[in-house]
Amino acid sequence: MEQAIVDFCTWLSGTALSVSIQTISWIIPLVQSVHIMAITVVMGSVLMIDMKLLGVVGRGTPVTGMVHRFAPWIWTALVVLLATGSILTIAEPARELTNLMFRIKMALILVVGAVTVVFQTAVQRQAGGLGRHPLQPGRRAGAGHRHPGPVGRHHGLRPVDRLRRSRLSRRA
Amino acid sequence: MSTVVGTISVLDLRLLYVTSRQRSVRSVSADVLPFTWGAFLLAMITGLLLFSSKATEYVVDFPFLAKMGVMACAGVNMVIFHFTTYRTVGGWDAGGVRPPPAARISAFLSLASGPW
Repeated sequence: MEQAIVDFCTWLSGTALSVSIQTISWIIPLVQSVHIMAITVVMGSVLMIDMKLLGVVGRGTPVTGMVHRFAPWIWTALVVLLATGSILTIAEPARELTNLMFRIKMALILVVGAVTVVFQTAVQRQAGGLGRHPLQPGRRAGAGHRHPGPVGRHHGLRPVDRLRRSRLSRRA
Repeated sequence: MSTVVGTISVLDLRLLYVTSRQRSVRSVSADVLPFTWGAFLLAMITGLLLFSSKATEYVVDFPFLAKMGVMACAGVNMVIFHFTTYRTVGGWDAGGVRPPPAARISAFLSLASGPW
């Protein structure tokens, strides 16, 4: 298995595509910069959603609103990361594919990606299944900031509890 | 570093009136700035440590100096925004209101300095 990966790396780094990425001097710095900027987008967006779930930010904004705002940024940036990451890997396959840290990183990305899909699906289902959430300001212009306090049956709960509770009540 | 740029971009895009249009500027600002500053502090400390490892090389390195220059400009931009433009935030804080040109210019400059 290990030998097969090494062979694959040797073959890939000899292909015309890999060689041209290696020899044209500006490709790797440019692609790497774009890669890092995309990481920035994912970090900022994920942080905002996570902090909302912890109840630290976004008072008066529902979880669904936060997810809808940031999810497109996360997924777009992930596509960019995949594309730029692939280019960097094609340029130096052995540096990536035979590296234990790289493999751990890829495994973690798969796990966190799955967690994100499950979470966003749950949020989506709640938004659709319960109709308008008690905290949802709706789509009317300027409605959001006029409903700062928690109202409705989930009064006083943190967003994470609200999500959990609605899931429980649906099961019951 | 990515947290600094990632979080401040959220506020920049609100000031540019591209995203979060229905949320008040002050609430978006209160949500993201603590993280921006916390992460900036970390970036400062780690950056100084990295710099100290090869200080003699860095001080004559043009890209490094350019980066410091852009960061200084971004700092000036932030100070100007905070002490002049942001004073009138009460008038354009609410959701659905497009911030004034000065705020949008500051936000654009801030976004543009991000990649550095």
